[in-house]
Amino acid sequence: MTGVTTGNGRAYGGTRRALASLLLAVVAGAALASPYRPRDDGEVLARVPARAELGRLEALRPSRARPLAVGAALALARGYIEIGRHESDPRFIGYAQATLAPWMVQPNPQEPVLVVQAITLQFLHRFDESLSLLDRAVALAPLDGQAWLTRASILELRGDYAGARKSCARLVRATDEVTALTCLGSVDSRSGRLASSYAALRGLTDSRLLPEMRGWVLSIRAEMAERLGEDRRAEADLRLALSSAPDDPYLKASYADLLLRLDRPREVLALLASSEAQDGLLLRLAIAGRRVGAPEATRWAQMYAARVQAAARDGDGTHRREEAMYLLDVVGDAQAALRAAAANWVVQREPADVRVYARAALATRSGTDRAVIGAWLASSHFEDSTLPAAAAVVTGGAL
Amino acid sequence: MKTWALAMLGALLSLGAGAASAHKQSDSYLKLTVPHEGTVLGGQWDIAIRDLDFALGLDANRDGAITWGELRAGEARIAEYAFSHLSIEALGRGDREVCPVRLTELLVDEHVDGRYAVLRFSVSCALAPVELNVKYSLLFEIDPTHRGLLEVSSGGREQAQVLSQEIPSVTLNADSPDRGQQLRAFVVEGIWHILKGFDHILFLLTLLVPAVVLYGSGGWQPRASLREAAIDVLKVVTAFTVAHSLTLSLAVLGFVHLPSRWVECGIALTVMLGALNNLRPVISERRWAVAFVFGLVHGFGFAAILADLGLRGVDLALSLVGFNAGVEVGQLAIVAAVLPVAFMLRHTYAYRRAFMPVGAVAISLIAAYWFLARLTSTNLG
Repeated sequence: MTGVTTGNGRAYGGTRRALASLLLAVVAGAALASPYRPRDDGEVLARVPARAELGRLEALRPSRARPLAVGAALALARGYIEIGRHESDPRFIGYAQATLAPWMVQPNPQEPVLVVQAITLQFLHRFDESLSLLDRAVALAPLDGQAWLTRASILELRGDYAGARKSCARLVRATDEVTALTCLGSVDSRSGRLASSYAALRGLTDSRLLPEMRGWVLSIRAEMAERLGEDRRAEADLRLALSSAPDDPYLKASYADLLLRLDRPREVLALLASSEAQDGLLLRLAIAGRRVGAPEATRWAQMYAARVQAAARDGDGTHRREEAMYLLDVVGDAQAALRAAAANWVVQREPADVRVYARAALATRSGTDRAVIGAWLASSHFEDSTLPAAAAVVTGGAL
Repeated sequence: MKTWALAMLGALLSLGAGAASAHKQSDSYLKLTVPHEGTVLGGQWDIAIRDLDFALGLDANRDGAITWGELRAGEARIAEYAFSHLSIEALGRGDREVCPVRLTELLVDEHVDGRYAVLRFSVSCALAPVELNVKYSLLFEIDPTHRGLLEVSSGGREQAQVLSQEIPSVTLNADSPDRGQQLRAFVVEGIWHILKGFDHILFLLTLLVPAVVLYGSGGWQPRASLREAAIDVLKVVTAFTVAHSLTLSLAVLGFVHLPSRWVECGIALTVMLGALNNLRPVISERRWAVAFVFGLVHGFGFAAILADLGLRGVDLALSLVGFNAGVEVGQLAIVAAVLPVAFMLRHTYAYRRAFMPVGAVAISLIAAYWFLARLTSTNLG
């Protein structure tokens, strides 16, 4: 950000300025320093990510003289979603929604419009609205693989494994074998069949994976391997996935979490060297920096604190998992972490959500929360060998 | 389609983590500062440079970096774009005026998620606002998830509101937190409300004009003494005051809510019936009772202006007391102006035989017109 300008002197000054600003931000919340007038016309104020992709999409953008046809609007919205995902920037999700708006206000939007709109809502964590659009979509087009897969993902994220499994099963006819197998494998691995699901996905040779699917399949497989205690295989899969998509924020976060768990924070610093701008990756930097006593650790922690505060002030509650991780691993306030983790638990139940909730419950010795987790583990048959003192969680026993 | 669907698989996977590495969503920060005196407000609007680039294409050389030079070059377009998506209206003295906005300075500031263009601007209102109505629509047409975080500071008090496509406008209190000043402002507001509310004045006239006369077998006869007339006025005005204070309080405190169309039609109806009663009195002795019943309706009308403010606690109590006192002051001013003249003219033939009936017919016609217009109107604003 500020520090990354031209020349070392500038960068240093910029860093100092950013640091001063951030200190203020922690106090003031909103604007950091006082507004200023740059001296140099050449001073870079902002970088537009994905300028090339945006430029490519520009030809599709509507104008007053030329409103969009539905096909072009869908292509444009998908383009924005792609950029939004790659940059993990919700702005682009908003642009996609605006692109679809003329069709969404109609009483019966076309089926593909419903699906793409549902995907934007899913990104914004508006899961109920997303699911209701997807239900309408699959009623209109029962063979839309994208709709079923999106539906399966939301249900899986919420811990509704039976529902997710039914949606995955529709993929057998709606898409290809690898997609259906991966979807089912992921759901089954979280509901009592971890070892067999992992074995099935291990059977997929790399040559059978289309380039567009590699990252997806490999990260799911890596996540299963971690829960089985196969950390070396998990790492190999994540590195393989990153080799073809080195900037993927999700893969980077997953790999950073693995490295942190294996107590290799220095590698996290190297992996995320240029990732300060993305909140989730900044958090991992702050955690790793604190562990190794990196000189920038305080700055990262303050930057992340400022963003958490901004989110809280703006009433944005979609980052609760990360907030819990931050409170637990950076601030060291286990009680506050538990509150955030418990609030997050109501919304989503991915492996990372279970982990942070269990860690916070153990750190605070909260019997109630351990009982909640224990009951869920017993009823869902969710397996995870990385859960801290898993037995203690399940039985609610003394530590 | 298929290729895209497959590419989207990756997107699905990042469901839980989509937010994990998410940026903050697009917000702008809008600050308005109400001066202690005068009618020119200060404004500062921080808008993310990336948002402005997407809306206006600031990156002239398309190198993916927006420089200060490029931002400066776009200054006029930025101001035009931003201010065409913002409307600030001053409310006070029974009036509302849109305040023209002018950019005074373009600066830059750093926020948690990057640099923002800072638009400093002046808001020149024609009147000192008691309330401010802010309508916000920046970026909504290209990013419906965008929000404007509005902060209004007046004196030492800060009020904040999140504006979004769902809630694009808000009315905030713009007066000073100084209780004395606040009370005074509401008194003034009450006075203006009754003096500008033509329907309230006409209703009062229908009550006052007959106070100096008595209806008997030979039509309207002059009352003997000023004292007699004054007592009649006192009874009528007191009944009207008690009644409208009652319903004003009930409505502002949220105990009773009536649709404004009914209330406005009801007020027109009270004026019409009041005037007709002067033409051929149905009730002449107990006019205070008429004033009371009709006053209940007018109270709901007075409440409309306060109910929109969303005041609480001490602010609410102050506004009620102040506004009501203002209404009484305005009412007394009307009485003071009308009663002596009416008393002096009460013996004249013109007053009793011409002014009273013609006035009554005229007022009832006006009121009937209001009634119909309000009944069929789609916009009572």
